[in-house]
Amino acid sequence: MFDLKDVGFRTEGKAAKTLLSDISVSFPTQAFSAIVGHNGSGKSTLLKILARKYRQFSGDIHMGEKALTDHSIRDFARKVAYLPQNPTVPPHLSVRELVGFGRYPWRGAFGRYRPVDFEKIDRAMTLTHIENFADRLVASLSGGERQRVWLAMLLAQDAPILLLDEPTSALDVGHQRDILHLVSDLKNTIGLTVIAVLHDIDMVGRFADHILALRHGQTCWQGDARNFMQAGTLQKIYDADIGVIAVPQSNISISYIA
Amino acid sequence: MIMRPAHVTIVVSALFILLAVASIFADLLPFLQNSTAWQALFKPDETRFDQIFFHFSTLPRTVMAFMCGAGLAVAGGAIQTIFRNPLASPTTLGVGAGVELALTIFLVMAPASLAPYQDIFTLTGGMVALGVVYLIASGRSNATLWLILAGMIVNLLLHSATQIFMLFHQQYLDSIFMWGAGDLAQNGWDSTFYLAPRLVLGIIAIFALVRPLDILALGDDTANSLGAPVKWLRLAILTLAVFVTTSIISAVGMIGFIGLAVPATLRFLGFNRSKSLLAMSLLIGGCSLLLIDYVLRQFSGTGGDIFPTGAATALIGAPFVIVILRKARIMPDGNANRQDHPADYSLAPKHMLMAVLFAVLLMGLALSLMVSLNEQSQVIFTPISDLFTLNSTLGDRAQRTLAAIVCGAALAVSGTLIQRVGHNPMASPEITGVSSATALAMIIAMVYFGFEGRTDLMMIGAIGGIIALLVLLGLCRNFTHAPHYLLLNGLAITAILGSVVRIALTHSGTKATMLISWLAGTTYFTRMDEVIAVAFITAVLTLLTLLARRPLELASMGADQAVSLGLGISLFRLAMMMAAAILAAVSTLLVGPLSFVGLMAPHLARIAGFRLAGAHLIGAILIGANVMMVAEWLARNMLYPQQLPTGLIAALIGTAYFLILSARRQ
Repeated sequence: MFDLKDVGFRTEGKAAKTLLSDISVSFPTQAFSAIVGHNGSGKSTLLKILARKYRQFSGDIHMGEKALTDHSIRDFARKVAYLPQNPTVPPHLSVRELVGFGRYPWRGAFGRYRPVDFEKIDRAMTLTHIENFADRLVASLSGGERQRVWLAMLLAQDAPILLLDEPTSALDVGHQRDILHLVSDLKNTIGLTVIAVLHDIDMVGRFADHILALRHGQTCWQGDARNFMQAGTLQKIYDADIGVIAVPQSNISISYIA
Repeated sequence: MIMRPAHVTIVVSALFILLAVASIFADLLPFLQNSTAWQALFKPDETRFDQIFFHFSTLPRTVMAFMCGAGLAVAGGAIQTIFRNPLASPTTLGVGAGVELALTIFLVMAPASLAPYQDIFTLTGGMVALGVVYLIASGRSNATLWLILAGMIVNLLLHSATQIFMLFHQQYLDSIFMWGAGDLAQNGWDSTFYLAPRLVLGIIAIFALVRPLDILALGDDTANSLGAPVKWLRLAILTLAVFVTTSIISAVGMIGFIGLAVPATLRFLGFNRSKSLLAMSLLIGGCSLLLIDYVLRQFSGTGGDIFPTGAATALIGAPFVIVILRKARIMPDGNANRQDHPADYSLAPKHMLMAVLFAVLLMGLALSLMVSLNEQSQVIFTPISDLFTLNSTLGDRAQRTLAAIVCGAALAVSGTLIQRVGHNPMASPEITGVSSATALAMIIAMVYFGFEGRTDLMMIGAIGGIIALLVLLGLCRNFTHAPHYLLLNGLAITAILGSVVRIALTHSGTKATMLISWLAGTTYFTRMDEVIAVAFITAVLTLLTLLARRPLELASMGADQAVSLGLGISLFRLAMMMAAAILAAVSTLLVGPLSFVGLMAPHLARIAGFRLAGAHLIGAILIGANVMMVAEWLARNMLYPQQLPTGLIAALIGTAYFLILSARRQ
């Protein structure tokens, strides 16, 4: 879905720093891609470039047939839903109202919400298990609950592409699994393209189809989950002693710190 | 900045001392050439005008400038350290305005026998103002911000009170203006000898307390656990700082921004310990004002034009403060404002409350028109049939009351838009300086370019307001972060307004009275066609913003999120800000820049539970209209037959509201 060619990014100002250089990668359509790497490796920056939050990148990015920058704002919002790492929480909105804003790209400033919109809002809340606090203020929820509310808003947005910046960072293991499971389910059933920045190696190995590993702003490794869950690969990416055990009678591997 | 403070000290102080000495030599040059310098300095030849002028005007003026600059900078440094707030200073925390009001009242009202007590009276004025500011700000989650906000509110309020007072005592007007504008001109050594001992005493006492000051700078808890009697120390040092400020203001009037800019800049350069900070403040503050005054003196000779130093200092100082504080990044983080929202309001829509507010507005309108007070405070009832007589009293009243209501609504919408789009519950047209810029544009057009037509002025004012907002948007990139910058901007523009008004008033003569009462926000000059025009503009813009309530709500989620959901945020923001500026401008023309309705109405509406953009707008409109209606009635009847300015009464209500709010929190 996204095709990147020689993409680089420098910060502006006096102490300009190169955050990304020479990234060439194709994120496959209708697949779950994960971006991994050490802290400060440029993962979030890359995702923000894809979400058009940073516009001064060098190189060439295509989304579908057109260049990334050629889509109109509304058109882009209908195709791409983006969840930042720390979204601003409006202090006065209830959960249902916030999720309702997912329909904004489709209805705009003045269009009336139709029954189909309310159905999509309800469905998004059901999928993310947040119906129980639909009428509470978002600001009064815990970090993990909020993360699910934001995800619900993205689902209500009904875009074929999801960009998620650490969508599970505040979640307990159960909800991490639920959310990633949900996302990869949606990928299989309705053909979503998902690109997520993730930290948990085992979750990446379990759910991702395609993995891009960054190191100091450069591509360090890319490939599929089976090849990712190898001690050699992980040691190279994270520069730490990591071992991998294959769980008997399954195709799951787990990593551990050696 | 890689230079170490030690080097900075030497370089900076040497530079300033050199410049100051050079300026004195420049003044002395003609006497040095014919070797009468010694004579001019100490024993002027009474037959030579130039020597007399130098000895009795230039020299005391130079000494005065140094003393005032030094004193204000030291007082500012101490106050900043105590409040741990780089924006605190005698002038920003209302001390100056308090002293000004107290002194004006004292000069006009007090019998000569009370003259020895002038110091105590003015000191009390300054301390009371500071106390009120402190009361409003203390106990809030982000006291840094509230302190400055409260300072601005109290400042504006006291200023307008001073102006009202002068309105009723017009015979003293001109001399009070000159004094209020910070005029350093001297005709003898009297003021110098009056000021010198007070300053020396105050400054020595402050220097004696540098160690406690350092401990206070660590924070109350730490200071307490180190065994310092925090409350008493703070009170003692503040009293000394206010005393120094009071003495200076009594002697020469308001001189803004030296007390703010000098210590703030020095701290930015790395002077963190109180001792070095205060010592350098003394030196640099004194030299700066001396130099500014020297430069101004070069202009004042031509044509006898008077350009008061204090007002000019504010003109130079205000932009400088913006620049230095932006660079210094000494502002605390802007995230704290979230805590100001209680997360406990219910989600139910407030139709009932809305209906009640509307009913109150209608009934209040009828009552405020028909009921009034006479000279003996007896209630007079005017029957509705009066409406059909010639020269109807009700018709006249209706005009003014409607003007107030319309302005209340316009300011409420303007404030709601600025607060929502700016993500800042404390922003408002008055606080961000939009109202001030509007007034500024109008005054300049009126006094210097001779515009008379109120329609022209309204247009010019609107342009001024929009320019101010655009500058604001440019300064606070994206408008999203740091509510401080908004306040800073408002502070600067308001200060500039204050000094331009003062300069303009000393020039304008006959228009002065009208200007003052307009600045204080009177509805007296309002005409019905203007009311209708403003009401029409307000109605159209309100309707448009109500239609745009969905994107308005979306804008509160931040720029990134809004764009992700397909809203072209920059254009939308610009449009909303334009609407806010236009509304602020048109209402400023009717009631002046002072009322705090634009701040108070959206604030109250949110607390009352009007949550979503549409309801918030309507709630704020109803509250704003109600407040202005009440203010207008009070202004008309409180001191009948004297007519008080509506804006001032509204501001009084606003200040009272914030005081009550802070009292309830404690």
